[in-house]
Amino acid sequence: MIKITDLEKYYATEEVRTIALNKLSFQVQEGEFVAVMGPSGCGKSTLLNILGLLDDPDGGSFIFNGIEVAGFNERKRADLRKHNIGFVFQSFNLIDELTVFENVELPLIYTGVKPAERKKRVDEVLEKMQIMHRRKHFPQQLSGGQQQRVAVARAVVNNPKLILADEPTGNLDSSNGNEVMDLLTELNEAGTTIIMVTHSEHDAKYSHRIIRMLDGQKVTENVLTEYKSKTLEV
Amino acid sequence: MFRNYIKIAWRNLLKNSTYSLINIIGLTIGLAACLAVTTVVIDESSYDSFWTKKDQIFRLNTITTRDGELLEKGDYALSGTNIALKDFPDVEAITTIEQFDTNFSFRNIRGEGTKTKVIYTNPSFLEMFDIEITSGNPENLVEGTLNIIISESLVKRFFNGRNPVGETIKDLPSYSNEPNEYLITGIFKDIPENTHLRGQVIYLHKPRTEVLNKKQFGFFQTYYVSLKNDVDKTTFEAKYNNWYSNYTEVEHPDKFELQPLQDIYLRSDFAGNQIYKGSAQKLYILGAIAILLLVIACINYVNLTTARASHKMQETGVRKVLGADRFQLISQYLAESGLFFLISGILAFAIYQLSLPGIVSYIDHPLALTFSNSALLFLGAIASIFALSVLTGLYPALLISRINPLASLRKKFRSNATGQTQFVRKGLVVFQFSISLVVLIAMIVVNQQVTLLKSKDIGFDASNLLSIKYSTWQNKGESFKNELLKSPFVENASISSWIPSGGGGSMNRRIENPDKTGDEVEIWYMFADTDLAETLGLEIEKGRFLSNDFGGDALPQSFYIEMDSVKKAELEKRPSLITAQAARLLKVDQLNVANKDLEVTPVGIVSNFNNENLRTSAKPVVIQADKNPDRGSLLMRIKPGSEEKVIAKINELWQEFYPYKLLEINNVSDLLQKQYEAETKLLQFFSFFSALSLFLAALGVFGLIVQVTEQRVKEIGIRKVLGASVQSIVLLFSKDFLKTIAVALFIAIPIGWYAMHEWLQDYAHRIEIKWWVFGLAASVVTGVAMLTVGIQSAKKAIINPAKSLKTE
Repeated sequence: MIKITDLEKYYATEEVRTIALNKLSFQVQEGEFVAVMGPSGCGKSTLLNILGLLDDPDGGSFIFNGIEVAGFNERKRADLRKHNIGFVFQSFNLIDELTVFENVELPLIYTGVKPAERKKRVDEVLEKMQIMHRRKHFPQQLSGGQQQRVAVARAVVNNPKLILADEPTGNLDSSNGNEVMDLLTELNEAGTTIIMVTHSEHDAKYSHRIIRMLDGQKVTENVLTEYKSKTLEV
Repeated sequence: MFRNYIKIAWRNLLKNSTYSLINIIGLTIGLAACLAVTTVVIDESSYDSFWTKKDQIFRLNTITTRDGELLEKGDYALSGTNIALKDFPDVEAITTIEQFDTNFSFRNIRGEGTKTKVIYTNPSFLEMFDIEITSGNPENLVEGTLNIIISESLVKRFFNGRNPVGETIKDLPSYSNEPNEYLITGIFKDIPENTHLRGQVIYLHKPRTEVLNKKQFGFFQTYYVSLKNDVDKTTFEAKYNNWYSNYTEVEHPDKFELQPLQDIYLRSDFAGNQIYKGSAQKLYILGAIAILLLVIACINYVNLTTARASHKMQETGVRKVLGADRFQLISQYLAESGLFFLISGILAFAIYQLSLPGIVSYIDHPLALTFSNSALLFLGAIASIFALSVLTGLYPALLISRINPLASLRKKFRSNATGQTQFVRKGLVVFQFSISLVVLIAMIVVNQQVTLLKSKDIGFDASNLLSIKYSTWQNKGESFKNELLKSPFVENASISSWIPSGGGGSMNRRIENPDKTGDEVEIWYMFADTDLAETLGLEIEKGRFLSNDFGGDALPQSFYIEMDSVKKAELEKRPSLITAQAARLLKVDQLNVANKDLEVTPVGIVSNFNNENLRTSAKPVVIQADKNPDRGSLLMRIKPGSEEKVIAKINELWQEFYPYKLLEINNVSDLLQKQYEAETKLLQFFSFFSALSLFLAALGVFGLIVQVTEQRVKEIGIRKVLGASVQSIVLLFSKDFLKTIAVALFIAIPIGWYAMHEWLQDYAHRIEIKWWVFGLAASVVTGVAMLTVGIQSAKKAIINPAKSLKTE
């Protein structure tokens, strides 16, 4: 599903040029659950941003679903993004002015889903995430775990092929954290590809494979569970 | 989707209530002020646009030139022009119009009168101007009586629903002793107020029939001409001028110009006979102010909204990540600005509606067109406010929606682009403060000048001076005055052709300036009975006052009839008072000797006084006496505090002496103050505008400081951790704004000084613009800005640094 080859990304200030990604290459197959680990500043988040089509690489190739997307303009990226990718952030990034229901509904509005259909799908996903009873609440009225569940609900409501999770449990206590990880695993088992950046060895164990990074490069790759892809070729 | 936008906009508005309130107040004030000023502008420019033949009707103006240089332009032409014009096939109709006020006794009660606007014209006016006659046949003049037609609203007001056509009413004359009788020959539908031809009564007379004088001499009238539909104005002007120059026998034939009907109200500075006129220049200034107010209000909206951009960043980023495209984001922010403008617009309309009576009293005439009485204007205003909300909302919307979702999620909103917007916004604040400063300087200067005008010693004491309006006295003036003097409260009285506020005098002459050859000086002559100087309270510096005890001091009226050379020589011997200024100018050191320049014999020198108003300097004055003058105002010096008693006495005597005549009593100091009404209004206007612009500018600063402190919240935290005090942080932010104000001062002071210096040139007596005026204006503006900056930055500075550091 994803194939990156010699991916490069630089950050330049007036004096220094920092290499965030240094000729990074790997593949992710459809339905896989991959954890990316590494110390702060190793390029994890940069990688996630590029994979999420939020940022453009400076070099290399990025093939998403068989299409070369490196060099796509913002409009094309946005279009691809809203139909295929869901995001879960460490800090949830819910919109404070919107209720739980409205937050989850948002991606459907942007993809042009009709109101009746939207309601059905949001209710369905809220039900699944067990936060239906909180649908009229605003984010500030929820606990961290509940907020993250809303964020996950929002990420999946559009049935994306890929979920990118940036330290999804970073702001949660362990029991809430485990709940979220269980949720992600469920989603993965239902067929969604997940790439998760994390500092937590505990969380990483939920994945099929751990990619460890240092200074913008892949150092090791541990396969935890052999994953049999339905489509082997990208 | 749209509902969603509005819903979110509404929640945003409620959530950030302070910000919303400030934005709404700013926009409301800006919009309301703009609506108010625009109303005046629209009303003034709508004048005379409703007449059916507005494009065919012109006023005939006379232009007198010598060697290509304009000597005079007037809204009149020689009598007989109507006869001459009739021979031109291009002319459809011609009429004469004169306007004045008459006091009619509609209810026929003796001594009661209602001041009524009269159009004095001939019947062709009715057809030419398409006056709608609802009753009667006024075109056919009834011989042997005065024909008037009256407006429907007068009929409604005075005739209890009955049709007054055929009835006779009287007036309350100023000059004749007996009232005139008028026959009502028709009723017309009210003429809208937005015309220079305002009239409640149309007084119809036969056109004059004399032939145009070939020597360019005679009686003048104001002519209105309607040309046939296909006739070009310029061609006809040339044709008529050409004909006239052949017809007249003078060396310098006048030229004539046709002034389009719709130009008359606004472009007639020259027109001495025209009562109702506006000024195009004033209108441009007002229009500019309306736009300026709107721009300032919108700048504030933009400033405050972009100041909030950092708050919006995260939300925008999330929306982008979730798939919102730029158009959707822009639409949402436009919905937000739309909501602000909607609320402010509604409030502004309410304020506008409430302030309409105030506007009407300020401009001193009714408004024909307002946003609330014309559906078209109302819709226009709504459409404009809508368009404005889009225009104003667009910049912040573009700015916020353009940001990179990544950066926005990380709250990194300090790219070069914002440096640029920062510059733009500072520029806007400089602009606002410059305006505030200029207006404030103007207000202070106008205030000083008005105070000077109203308080300057004018050479006589205007308090405790009453006057009866200029009238004819039917040979009973002297006895009326003597009866009045029997009252213990009346100290002195004089029937005079001149009273203070009534122009420079009765007549003026220009003579060669003895101090400067080639230069002319103006000498004013005043004719009164012998008591004018003493009633005014002038001091005698040398010689004596005029007195009836001296047989020759006052000349009888009959003296002026059939003047001959003997009488003319006698006039030079006429005893007169001259002012000290006249004496000094003409080096009069010997009294009782005929003065060749003045053509009089000074018998006394009186103290100087200002004979006109303080716009001009006091001129040399000669006071001469007539015996029992039959025309003039009656000026009375009364005992302090006795005004009511004296007025009662006058009323009583008036009933006895002149039961059918109009009586109008004035306080002379009121009349004098009234001369400066224009200045007083200007002061009111500047006071209002300066308060408004200052308030709006303060809002602008608020927007800027909110953004700056929010952006630097981490810096504030770090500084505090390192030991900075609240004061030092406030100072840090204030310094930046002081620079902005310094730039504004640099721009505003020269502009303010120059503008007010030019304005003051119209006054002979004027204040000097002192340096403290600028100091005061600068202090006020700086004070307002510093207060705004101080409060907001102190608010941020007292936040616990642990909290501010965490928020980053």
